[in-house]
Amino acid sequence: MEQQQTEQALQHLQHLVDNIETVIRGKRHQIKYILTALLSRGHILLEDNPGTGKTVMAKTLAQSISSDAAHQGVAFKRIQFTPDLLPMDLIGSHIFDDEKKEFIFKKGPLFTNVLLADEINRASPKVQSALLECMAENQITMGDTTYRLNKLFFTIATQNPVEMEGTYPLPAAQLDRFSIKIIFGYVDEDTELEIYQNYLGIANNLQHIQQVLSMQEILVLQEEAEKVYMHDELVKAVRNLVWATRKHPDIVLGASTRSGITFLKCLKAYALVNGRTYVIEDDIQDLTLPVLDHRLIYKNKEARQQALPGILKTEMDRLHKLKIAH
Amino acid sequence: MPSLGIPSRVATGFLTVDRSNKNPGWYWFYEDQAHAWVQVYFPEYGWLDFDTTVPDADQQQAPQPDQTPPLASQTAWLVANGKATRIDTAAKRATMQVEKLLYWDQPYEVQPTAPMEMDVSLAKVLHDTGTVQLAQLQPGDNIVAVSYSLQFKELPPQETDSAASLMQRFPKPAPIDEIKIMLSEEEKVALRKKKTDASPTNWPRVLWTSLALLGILLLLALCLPWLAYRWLRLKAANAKDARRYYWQYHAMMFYLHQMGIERQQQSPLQFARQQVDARFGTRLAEYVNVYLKLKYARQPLTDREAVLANTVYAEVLQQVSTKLKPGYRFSHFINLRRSLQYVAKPSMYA
Repeated sequence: MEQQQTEQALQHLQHLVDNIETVIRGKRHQIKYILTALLSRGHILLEDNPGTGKTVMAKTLAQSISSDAAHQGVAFKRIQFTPDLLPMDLIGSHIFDDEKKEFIFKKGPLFTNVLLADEINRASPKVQSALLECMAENQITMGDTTYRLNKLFFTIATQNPVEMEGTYPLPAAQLDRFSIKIIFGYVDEDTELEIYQNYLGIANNLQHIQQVLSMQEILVLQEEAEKVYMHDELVKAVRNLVWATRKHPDIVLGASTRSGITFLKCLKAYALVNGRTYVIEDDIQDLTLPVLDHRLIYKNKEARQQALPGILKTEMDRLHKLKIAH
Repeated sequence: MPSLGIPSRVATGFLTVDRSNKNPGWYWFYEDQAHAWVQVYFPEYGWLDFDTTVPDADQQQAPQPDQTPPLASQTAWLVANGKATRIDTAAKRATMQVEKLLYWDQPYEVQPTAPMEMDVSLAKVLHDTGTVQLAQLQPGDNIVAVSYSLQFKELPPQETDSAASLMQRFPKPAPIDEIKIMLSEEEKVALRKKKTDASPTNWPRVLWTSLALLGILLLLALCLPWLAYRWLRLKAANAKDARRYYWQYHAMMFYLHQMGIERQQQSPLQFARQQVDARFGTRLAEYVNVYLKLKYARQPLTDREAVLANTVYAEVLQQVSTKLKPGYRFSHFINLRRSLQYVAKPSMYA
């Protein structure tokens, strides 16, 4: 019975990917990463220029997951971070209700299922930490009361590339809150042409997006992701990678143990997203940079580009040579 | 003997073992091998050695068959020159045609040559190089027979004796102690020449042999990749369970690598997708997925997966080989460097 449920959920997950692709073209890989973060109970940071489809993506995702209220997507909120944003804009505030003659806590945009936090690096550190604390704790304490966030709470944060001015770049310790960081990027030429040719149709698709996955199923899948089988050699590989980042001469701050555990969670979720109940070596190849890169502090620009790929290559060579255990 | 007009001399030296073939020009000797012996000159034969020393100390003490006490040195009563005519190794008898006789140090010409039967049971047969077996003596060999037997001592030659009459009085068969097989001067020269000829190397022969060997080695080296490939396929065909896939996988990877389709930096899955399936329309990626499952999942393959793997294995090898031209395939199969790369640089395959 449970097996069947799982299989069904997996099938629906594939439908979800296809679903999102009808609206967001040419980003299959990025969609997979986002779903990986979702299923591993983490959050994702997209680094990108404006206008590449992040908002549409988040909206589509939210719409594709049905809430308990039938035929409706789960709750989706979008926050545009600006330098003058205050924490209470996120969390909510107490408002004096004239009728009841008391303060009522009006929940802020954080109390949602899928949250799109745009340009997170433009807000002040105070606001950043408010958000990130919530992401970590899954609850908010205001005064005497503690408000829990939704069971399904998934944040997609975006930031502009660090080179742009007027930003408060997130420090590494806080970037740690995000399981995965990817570059959303532009599509390739052919896909871009398709989008131009079809943009009305795409807008239409977004309007009529179907719910292919229920919130309950997502929660089931999150449970399933923890049960995905991971071979000892692969666990060792993760350990080797983490250690290598600590020992590498060009990396000032290596990956922490928490990062290692997050890595494992993501690997399992990624395997599930790809329709497997076991992790394979290619998963490690795909996930190392998105998961580990933003948690490290490098010596210089060269190191940023070469250190981690080098470590990855060595480890992958080792994995490729492994024989089948009889 | 010089008193008789026969040139003789005493030679001194060492009794060494002839090791000259092992170490040309070098001889080992010890002081107790110091020796002295008599050499007598025969006009047709040159200087001949007559070693009249009893070789064995024990033998010195042993009594002679005719009850005479052993002597420290012995006198050669009879020295006969001639050709051996008949040899009977079983009865230890030999017959020779005597041409010249030296009896009691007196020379006699035996004209015409007369046969003499010899008892050679106690005789030492000597050759140019050393002591040999009686069987080595061939009819027709020029020999010198020497006797120290005291029987001859009892037969002093008379003034009136001719060779024939002497020989008539000889005991029949005559006890002979030494037979020396003589080589004529020509034979000696020929032997010496043969010895010197044997040592220099036959250069043309060496050259051809080594070329032939090199040729065979080269041929073998060129065949190696093909043989390795066949061996892998054989292993794949014969193995059971998971091992089968291991060998199948390697057979395919080796073949692809040998044909110039190298994996380089990609993962096996990417390699299968981008370099093999895209080019040859095969399903190698599916095979690799199954293989990865074998590698990392603690689950057995489903029947569908097993069937798929076996099918794709045969398919891949067949399709790739059909798509590549025979000339291309041949030229790539003899490339041993590639095969060695496959073994030496694991990053290039899997």
